Amino acid sequence: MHPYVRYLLGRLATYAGVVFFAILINFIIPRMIPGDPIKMILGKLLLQGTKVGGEELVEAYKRMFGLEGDIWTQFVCYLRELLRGNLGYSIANFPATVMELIHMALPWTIGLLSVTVVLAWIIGSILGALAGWKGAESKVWGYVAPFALVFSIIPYYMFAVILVFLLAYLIPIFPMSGAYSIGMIPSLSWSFIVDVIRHSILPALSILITSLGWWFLSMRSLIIMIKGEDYILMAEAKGLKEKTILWSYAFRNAMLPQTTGLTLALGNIVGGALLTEIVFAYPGMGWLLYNAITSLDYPVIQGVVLIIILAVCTATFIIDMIYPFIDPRIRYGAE
Amino acid sequence: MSMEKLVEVRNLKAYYKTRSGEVKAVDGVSFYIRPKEIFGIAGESGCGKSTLALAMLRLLKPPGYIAGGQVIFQGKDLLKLKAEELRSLRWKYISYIPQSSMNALNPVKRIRDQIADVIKTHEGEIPDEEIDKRIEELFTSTGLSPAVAKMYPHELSGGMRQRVIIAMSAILNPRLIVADEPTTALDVVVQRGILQLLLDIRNKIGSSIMLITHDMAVQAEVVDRLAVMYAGKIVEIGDVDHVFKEPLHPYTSALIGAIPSIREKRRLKGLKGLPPDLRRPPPGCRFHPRCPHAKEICKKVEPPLVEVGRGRVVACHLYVEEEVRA
Ligand SMILES: Nc1ncnc2c1ncn2[C@@H]1O[C@H](COP(=O)(O)OP(=O)(O)OP(=O)(O)O)[C@@H](O)[C@H]1O
Ligand code: SF4
Ligand SMILES: [Mg+2]
Repeated sequence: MHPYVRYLLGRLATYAGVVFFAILINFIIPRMIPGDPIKMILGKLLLQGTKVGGEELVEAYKRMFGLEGDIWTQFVCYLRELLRGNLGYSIANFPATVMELIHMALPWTIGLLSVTVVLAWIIGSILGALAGWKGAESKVWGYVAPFALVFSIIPYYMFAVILVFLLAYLIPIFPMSGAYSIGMIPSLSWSFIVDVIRHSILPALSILITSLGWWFLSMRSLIIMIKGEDYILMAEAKGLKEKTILWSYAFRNAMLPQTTGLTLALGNIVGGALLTEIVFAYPGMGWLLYNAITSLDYPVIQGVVLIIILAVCTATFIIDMIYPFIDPRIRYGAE
Repeated sequence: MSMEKLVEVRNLKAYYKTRSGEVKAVDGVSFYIRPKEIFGIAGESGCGKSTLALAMLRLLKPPGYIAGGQVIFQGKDLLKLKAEELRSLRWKYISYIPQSSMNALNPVKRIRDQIADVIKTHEGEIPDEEIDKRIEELFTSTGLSPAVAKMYPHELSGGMRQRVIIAMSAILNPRLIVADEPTTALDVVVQRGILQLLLDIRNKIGSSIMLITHDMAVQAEVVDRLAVMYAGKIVEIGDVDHVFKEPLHPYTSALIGAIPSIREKRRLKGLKGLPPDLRRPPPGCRFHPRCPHAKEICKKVEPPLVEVGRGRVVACHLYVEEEVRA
């Protein structure tokens, strides 16, 4: 067997194990809540004044939890429903299912965060590399680093509040909250897209600038460290052009840890920038989770957490898969 | 062998700034290297051999800096060249094998690409097939399997990496190869092969080689002329046979008397004390606290480097007086 295939199978086994464990916990925890979960849910629904469909809900939960059988049958039922993409009904938004809610929230979060995270990573890495390389010789970069430090320390939600105050309240250039104007109907029309972009600028900026500072500092210190490596001295002795040494020798080596960081950050995207979404009432996963928590909507909380765990595991698995290609030194397990 | 000079170092000074004062690691060193010769630099650990090499190539990094002197190569002072001129001269005319060559290869680039970088930088865009052909020829002639080109550094043993770097140092047919302790970290059998490789390269492409090693046995065997360094200064230069047959400087005698023990990095036989702290070298002759022949004058006056015939120079009061008497 090719060593990479063997390595991959090993990683895949770990991945499957972790995912199974996460699902298992998601299965066990609600069962540890004392009392009859169905009665509890029903009680809550009645409290909210939902009457219609109560019966239907009880049926659905019975089916899903398989509450009649023993714990083993219950787990099999649970897995079966999960595979069908059934995470149950939302209590607060009945009769919407958890899956429907996630389905609505996820695109907003992924759209907002994947663009900002990747952009911050690219810009931060490039600027950080230049700053680390020019280092002491350049006055300009000497001034940039402290700013980056400040921005990376400010919590992103604080920065979000500041941005809202400055650019939505004091000088109202951008809308204060939401993902699009009230009354707009989501469509692929030009005006809707522009509206979405206008709404996303402040939340994006708040995440972009603070995480940019972080990538900048991390890349800068990596490059400063690598500058002292023997292969950089050697590259200089070879008479290579400075830009070759910086990008093809120093930067390429620094990209290894930096890429790990990016993949992990991407895994965390699915959880949303919780507080940013709250500040801007941005209808993503963070907002969904926040609302579920405030309304004690357990099925939604559980569903969101499960999706987040799966996303993080998947991101980690993806790093494991691509790492041997970016770092030739990686050994394939027990070789 | 011709008497012309390929490179001439004049009164070179390279210091390190430290909090507790300046380390005068290379302090007024002068010598020249002839075309096609192997020129050895010997001396105990810490006497400034690597600093000398780095300063000559203008590769010294802070806190090190060049405090003065000239390095004349092809009629130009390397220390005064513009950055771009210096860059285009590097490797094409003077290549370098660093002391810590174990980590001198870029870990994330194939060997082939690291060599191709040099060729492309100095000779412009050349078709890949041609580059591959040149690398294959180079490897075959230096006893490396052409398959090595496709590998990454971590896939090679220490001796193989050293071979790759030496092969790479010859790819552009440079006039001078500066090799800093190329055999030190290797076992004896591999050492032999590496030394033979350096000799082959000199014979084939006619480069001069500046061979830095504290291993006097290696010096005796390989080099044509030898310079002995002590505490940042050159104390003696001469044809290697003459130096070994009749060492002039007391320190050289001690080094030669200590061939086996120096290899094991033990203290020199018959020498008391340690090399001086280069932040505060002793006045007069820097060797006087350890010299069995030290006289009053040695403690006060620094002996100049003087010619004593047959192309030999030495810095020791024993010979200055002879000169004066003669
Ligand atoms: N970065 C530095 N900062 C301060 N002092 C330094 C630095 N690098 C070297 N030195 C000092 O300069 C002197 C010469 O060092 P150098 O490495 O040139 O010696 P060397 O002859 O090559 O020794 P070795 O045989 O161990 O390689 C030593 O005393 C060393 O302590
Ligand atoms: S100058 Fe004096 S101290 Fe120095 S080596 Fe000669 S005899 Fe010894
Ligand atoms: Mg050295």
